[in-house]
Amino acid sequence: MEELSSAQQDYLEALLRLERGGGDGASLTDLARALGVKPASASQMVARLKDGGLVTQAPRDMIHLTRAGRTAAEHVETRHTTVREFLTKVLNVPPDVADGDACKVEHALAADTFNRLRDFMDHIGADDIERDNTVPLPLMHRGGTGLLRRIAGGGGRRARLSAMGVHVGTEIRVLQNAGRGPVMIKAGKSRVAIGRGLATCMHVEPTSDL
Amino acid sequence: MATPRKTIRIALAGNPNCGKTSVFNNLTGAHQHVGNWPGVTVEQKSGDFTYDGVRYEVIDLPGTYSLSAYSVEEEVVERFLRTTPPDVLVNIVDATNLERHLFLTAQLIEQRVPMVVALNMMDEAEEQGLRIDDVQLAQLLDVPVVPIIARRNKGTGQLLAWIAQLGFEPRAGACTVDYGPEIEPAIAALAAHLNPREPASPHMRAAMLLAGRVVCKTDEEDAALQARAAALRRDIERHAREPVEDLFIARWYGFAHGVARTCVTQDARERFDLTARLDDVLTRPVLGLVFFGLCMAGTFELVFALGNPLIALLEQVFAWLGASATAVLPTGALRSLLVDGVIGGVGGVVVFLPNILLLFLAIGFLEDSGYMARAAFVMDGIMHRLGLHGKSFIPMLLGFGCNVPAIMATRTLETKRDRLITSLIIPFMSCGARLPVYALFIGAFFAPHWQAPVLMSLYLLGILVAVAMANLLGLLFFGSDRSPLLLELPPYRLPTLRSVLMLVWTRAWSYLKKAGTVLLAASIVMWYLCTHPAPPGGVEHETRFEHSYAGTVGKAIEPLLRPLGFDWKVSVALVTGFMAKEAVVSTLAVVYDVGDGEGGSHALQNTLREDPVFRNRPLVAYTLMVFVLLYVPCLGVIAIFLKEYGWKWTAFMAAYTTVVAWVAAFLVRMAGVALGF
Ligand SMILES: Nc1nc2c(ncn2[C@@H]2O[C@H](COP(=O)(O)OP(=O)(O)OP(=O)(O)O)[C@@H](O)[C@H]2O)c(=O)[nH]1
Repeated sequence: MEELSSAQQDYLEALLRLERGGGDGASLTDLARALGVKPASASQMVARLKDGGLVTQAPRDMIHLTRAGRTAAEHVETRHTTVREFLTKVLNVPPDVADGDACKVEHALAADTFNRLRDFMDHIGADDIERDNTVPLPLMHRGGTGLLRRIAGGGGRRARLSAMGVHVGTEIRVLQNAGRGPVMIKAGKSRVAIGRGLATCMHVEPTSDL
Repeated sequence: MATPRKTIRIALAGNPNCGKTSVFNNLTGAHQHVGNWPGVTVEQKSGDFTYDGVRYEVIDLPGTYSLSAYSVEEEVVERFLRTTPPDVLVNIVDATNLERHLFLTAQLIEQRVPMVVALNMMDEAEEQGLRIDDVQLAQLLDVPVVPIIARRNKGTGQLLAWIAQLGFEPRAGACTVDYGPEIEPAIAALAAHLNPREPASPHMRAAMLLAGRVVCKTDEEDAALQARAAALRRDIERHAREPVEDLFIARWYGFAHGVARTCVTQDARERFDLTARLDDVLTRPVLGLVFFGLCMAGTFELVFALGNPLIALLEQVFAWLGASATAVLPTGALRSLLVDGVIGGVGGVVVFLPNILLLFLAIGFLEDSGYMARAAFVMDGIMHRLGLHGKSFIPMLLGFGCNVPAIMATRTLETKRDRLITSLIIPFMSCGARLPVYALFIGAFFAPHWQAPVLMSLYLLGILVAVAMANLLGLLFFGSDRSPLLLELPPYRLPTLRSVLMLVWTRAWSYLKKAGTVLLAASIVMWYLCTHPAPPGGVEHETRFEHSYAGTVGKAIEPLLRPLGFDWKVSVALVTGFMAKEAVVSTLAVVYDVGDGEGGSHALQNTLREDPVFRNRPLVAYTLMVFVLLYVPCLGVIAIFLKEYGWKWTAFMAAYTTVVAWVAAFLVRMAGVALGF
């Protein structure tokens, strides 16, 4: 898919919301109103999105997102909510300000920057951020000990770590941590090497100096 | 006396590295290789034995940490237990780490299959000051518990007695894991809808369904059941505010933790922890890498320094054989077949046996000592930067022994992507079968002090190409997400002489078997193709060969290989090398008609040195070794690839390795010429 302009992204996002709001597709007037633009310019943009295969519109009929259009729109929306969450939950920005800022920032972030932001939000467990005193495992130094408090993220991570004897709530000791590459820990009686990416999802409450 | 009724099927299950293979060997008296890194048993192995007049079949399941089907092994074990439950399940647990091993036991108990728990590593537990109350453990689990020391074959008798008893009077324990008020009602509701004719217990199947893990293909109401399970799952998650999966994990862990706490006591004495001390040094960032490098260099040094005198000895034996055969037999086809075909061809390969054995001795030692997993740890950082997975390192190392088990070992990788990429580059790992080819050419064309470095350069080149290809394949076909490294580091153990020798012996035996079958056949066929059709009376050997079938084939391929500097004789050898790489050597021996008089590889080396293609040109020899290193490994690899990945990937593998080999050999030749070699 080609890079979408920020205006196009806004249109897709607005269409997604309108579709979710119920009803069958969105009319041109609704769309223009939602975005605060003139129906004429909205119609122009819709034509362009149609060429790009992102929406369908029979003459004088409602506008629908195509499958590709929906994927793109959802993608834009994720960016928006991630940035918004970062602003509200980490920086404590009021929600309405955050919403406006997120609209502007979301287009400006490079893909890599966004990925990092998302990883960070995953890491701190954005759903219900507890301001606790845990640190991600890779920040612990060799010889440090701590209690494993959380394992963020899905994909069976908790299941796999648990089965290897690394449970939430157990005491772990860092055996090796070179600052890059995997981290070696001892949990209970098991010695386990954990790739750095995975280790970042493990939140440890230190019981010694880091 | 009981009439021998049906065979009793036993399955061995347990965590990786719990000693399953050792128990398997104890039970069956078989000679499977044990390894001290998690995941040596990657394929179901089976064997049988007779006890008290009854036949038992033993299936050694791959080691798994749980039955959640996150990796291929877990899937294999889970499916095995669900679809074809054994008569008796032997769960082997490591007494030194009971809590963790009971996590799997908690899931196995749910299978409702007659089960014995073998409490292994009792010697180590005792050393560590752990006291395990096996009577209480048996009570809590409601299955027999037998303390054993598999490594020293202690307790096997008692284990067998229990297996026999359960085989005749099947009794599954009544112990269950209580999943708590959120989950149990849902399990009951689901279980009521399951097909009761299925072999596995409905409670367990319902639990698995609920955890969203298992597709019960054998149930007719499959889709409806899935939907029902999904609805129940959503309900539970809404109330518990936690994924169902986590609830299960918590319960299994709770069970394991509770049982272990009741049954294990530890004295307070401080002990010397060898593993901790060694790891402290051997896995440090720089030191670890240096040590690993030394290990590898030491291995190659060993292979040559110790191997060469032994090879010389074997050469003499074959020379003597050749000479006696020549002396005894009258001139004619029979003598030619025996001396040129059999003794020259097979002998040319068999003399390199010492090299192979030493290589496996070294690999076996690294594997059994537990160091292999550390090597994966210290290499993970580098592997990642090279675009590979840290865990693929172990299969790659195994590939130096033989590519076939290495490709099987890729099953320990979690994602299909990682497995395929690793399997596709394993053929570039120079296996033992290529060693005879190197030994032949390195011995003939390089001065003694250059031999080990040249050999090492080939291995390194293989690794380099593998890394480059992994990245390229990753980019071309698979995208770049990789599953994270997660690897258990077993305690260091002194390898038992028995287990290392067993590995060396099985390898030696399979090498000799290969020499006696495939290579013998290849040699005879080659001899026939090289000597027929009979040349028009009284021509020189050289021209006689040119007229033969083999010559014709070689000539046909020659244009393709000419740019690499190979002639038609080498081309023929490369074609037969496709069956097994050692065949390159045996074919050359036949093609060059050595074997008379001197015999063995020495004669072949002399002949090669004088051959116009190679004369005074180590570069051509090196180019040839590069080509042999990289092109399609052998029929064995093709077969395992077919089995694991289907014919499309197999065809791709065969084609791309050959192309890579050609290009690499060509570049080496060009570079060599440019540098004035
Ligand atoms: N000290 C001690 N070591 C043992 C005992 N049983 C097995 N071992 C060692 O444990 C290691 C692993 O044994 P294996 O039999 O290969 O274990 P496995 O479960 O088949 O391992 P995988 O094939 O990797 O799943 C080997 O180094 C054995 O020598 C025992 O009772 N005591």
